[in-house]
Amino acid sequence: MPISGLVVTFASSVEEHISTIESITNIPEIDLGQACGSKLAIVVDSETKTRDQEIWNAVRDLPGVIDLAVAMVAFDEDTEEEPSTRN
Amino acid sequence: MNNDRRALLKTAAMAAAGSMVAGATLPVLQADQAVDGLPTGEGLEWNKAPCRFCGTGCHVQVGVENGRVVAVAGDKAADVNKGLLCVKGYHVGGILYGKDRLTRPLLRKDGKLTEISWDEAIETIAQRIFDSPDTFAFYGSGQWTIPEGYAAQKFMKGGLSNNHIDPNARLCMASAVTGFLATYGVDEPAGCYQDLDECDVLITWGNNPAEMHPVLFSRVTDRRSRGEQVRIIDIGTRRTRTTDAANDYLEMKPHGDVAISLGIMHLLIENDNYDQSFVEKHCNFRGDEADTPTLQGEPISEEEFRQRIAKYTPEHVEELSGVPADKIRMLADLFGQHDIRITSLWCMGMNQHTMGTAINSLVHGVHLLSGHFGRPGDAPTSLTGQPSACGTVREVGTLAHALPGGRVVTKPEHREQSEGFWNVREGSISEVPGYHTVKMFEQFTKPTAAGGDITTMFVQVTNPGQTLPNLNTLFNDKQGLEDKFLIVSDVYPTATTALADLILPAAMWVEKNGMFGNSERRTQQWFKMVDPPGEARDDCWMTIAIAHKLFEMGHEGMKDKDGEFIFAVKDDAGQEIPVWEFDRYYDTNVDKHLFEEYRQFTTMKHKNLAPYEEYVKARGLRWPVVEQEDGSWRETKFRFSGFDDPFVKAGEEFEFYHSSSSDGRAQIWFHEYQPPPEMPDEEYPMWLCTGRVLEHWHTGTMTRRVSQLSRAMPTAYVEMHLEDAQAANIRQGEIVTIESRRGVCDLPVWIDGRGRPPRGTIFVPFFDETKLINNCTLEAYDPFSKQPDYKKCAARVVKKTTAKVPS
Ligand code: SF4
Repeated sequence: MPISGLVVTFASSVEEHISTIESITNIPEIDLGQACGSKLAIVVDSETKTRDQEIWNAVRDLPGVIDLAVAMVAFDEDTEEEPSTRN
Repeated sequence: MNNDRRALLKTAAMAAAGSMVAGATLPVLQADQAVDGLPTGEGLEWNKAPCRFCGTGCHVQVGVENGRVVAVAGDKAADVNKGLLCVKGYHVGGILYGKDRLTRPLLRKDGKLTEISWDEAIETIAQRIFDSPDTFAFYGSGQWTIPEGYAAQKFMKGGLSNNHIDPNARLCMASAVTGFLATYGVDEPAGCYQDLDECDVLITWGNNPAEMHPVLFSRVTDRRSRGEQVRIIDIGTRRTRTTDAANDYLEMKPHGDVAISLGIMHLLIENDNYDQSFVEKHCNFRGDEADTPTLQGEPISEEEFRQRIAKYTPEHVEELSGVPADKIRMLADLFGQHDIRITSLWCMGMNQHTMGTAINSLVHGVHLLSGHFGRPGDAPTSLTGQPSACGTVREVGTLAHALPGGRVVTKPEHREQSEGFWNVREGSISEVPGYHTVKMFEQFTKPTAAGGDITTMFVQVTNPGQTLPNLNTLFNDKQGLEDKFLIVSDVYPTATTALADLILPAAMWVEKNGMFGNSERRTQQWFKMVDPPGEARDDCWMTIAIAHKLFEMGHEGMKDKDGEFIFAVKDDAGQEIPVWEFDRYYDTNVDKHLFEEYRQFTTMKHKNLAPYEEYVKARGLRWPVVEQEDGSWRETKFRFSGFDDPFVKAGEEFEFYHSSSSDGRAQIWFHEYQPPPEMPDEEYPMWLCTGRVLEHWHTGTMTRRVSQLSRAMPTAYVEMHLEDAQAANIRQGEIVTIESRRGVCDLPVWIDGRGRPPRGTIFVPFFDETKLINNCTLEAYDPFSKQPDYKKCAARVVKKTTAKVPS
């Protein structure tokens, strides 16, 4: 159940990407934060790692998004990963 | 996680992200402000560490609660990443917690891995080395911390008088080293990441920083989003995410980079457009000796250089490289403009090349000839793929021919200095270089009776069973050789541990103290924050424990001239601390002791380092780091430039003070274009290129344990051009067999995916241990750097099954 603070970078100023921002707003696990220039802060708080991944991929693939970077991530005991195929 | 904690972390995450967008430029705060805005209390503590992955060297703040890493934040105080992380850095905490961490030493007995004690493990290793010290080899890594690499280096060269030590960095940056040495007489880039903030033009030479060094690349794309103009020119053999951001894409044939650089220099000279004043004052011309070429080369006149380069007309270069002649003219025109700033970036694409030293020297030559050097934004810069390829391999010198601080085993005065610093007996260091990586594994996998004179190998912090080229020859042949003994220290089971005779569970990243040196000469430090699982232990401790066992057994090399253990550490009262006993290892800071000893080596080549404590306070410092009159320590951003480098003579604009021609000048090289070692033909009609992807770091040993990363990129694949696929009736997702003269590999096909190769080329990432593409790759290597060429060999694609995913 990770919580992450992300920075979305658009190809141009944030105001020029209203429909993409609408799509981001429609993702219930996302809270919008500060915007400045071509950057927008968001926080993703999802129930599962799979959902977190889906959201990450969805945002990265939205039109006008040229970069998605991480400012902070918090995770907990549920993050133990699957064993490798070599076990 | 309880709700209060969740709410707190959510607020912190919003604050951290918000601070990244506030203002037009990214903030760089003072070091002691770094943890501001991050939640504390209820036992959550933050401490700094560099990211465990690529050579960019981003700094993170690591949140620890109840002995466990629970959060990671980009470090706002870090100049490298200014608070940002890429998707791998985002998951760096998760790599500690894969369920299959190795936790006990395992010895193969009758074919089965059996748990043994650490005492038995150390004794087994020491006995094998004691019985046959000359046939022992140590294979390490650019992921070794500086103290780990330094301990291994001293153990081998000072203690065992054995130079068979080499790192996996031989496979990724050795040609960059030889390129720097041939050009400047000393290794590592003169510029730094600030060049990316200041250049007008960025040229990526066979380099995909958008995926491989994403935080660095975001420094460039950020500038655009702030309205600054920066032109990106991508020269490559396939379209990548970097191409997507580029203004120009110049698609070249494999080895085309050599012709392109020669073509640029030809035009600069032909059009009298080069920087005559810079060349006259600061450069010599150099060519290969006719008989036995060396890194030194032989002096040639400018006239001779002109004559040799005359044939590389734009049209001839077009023929050799596939890049249209007018694009070569465009590049030459850009380099001919002195009022703009040009930065070149490269990494494995240029280094993994049988002309690796040559192409590195040539790109330096383009910058020197045009005078695009030494001003912020004007720099030829090689990046590294591993976090300490520079700090540990290049600076500590964990290579078969090297000694710390830029020394080499073949020079008597260098051996003497090293023996002096180590206080070991005269003549301890052998003058004969050891085996470089390819040779080392050839000798290990060849039967002893047939001359395979490496019988025991210790592999630390790397996975050669997946990364070596031509695995069937260089690694898989180990199987069944009863007298060969492979010791592997790692954190997870890998393709290498699959053939290991003894597996040692290792501590990783913030489970131990460490120091890394990144691509821009920045040395960074961190402290242990959590305990490793089970009985996993520090690699550095393993080396010291083996050395001490040999000392106990009476091995003369493990005693210094005063009869003391070569790794002896004493407390303030002069009492020796038994750091070879693991429960006493952290009674003192062994890293600090080793680093302070190593520091003595760093002044000869002006790679001066500051005392350990300075690195504790900083987010890394770029060497040379020099003490100021007020007692503070000042780092150097632009080496050889009079305005910044303290070692340039007063009043000089530039000085190449380690010039191989001993006259303060850099060398502009001419190298003749040579075709690749293996070319497609009727039988194997495709070029095969291998490389990396954003989500996985190198072999995926760590990142494949992070389910988010693993799900995002679950399997290796082969990128094909649509028309090649259609011509062979191959569909999207269909499993095909890649065949080369050396081996085979089954992979699903990806058409028009993230990377788009041109017709006749296929690309396969090497991260997937279930699909070992290096069964197919070629071990041919550069004659100077001994670095193999993973980027071009001949292969064919064979249909295997019917389509699984309709296109
Ligand atoms: S760019 Fe490299 S160092 Fe930075 S966060 Fe990503 S993997 Fe880590």
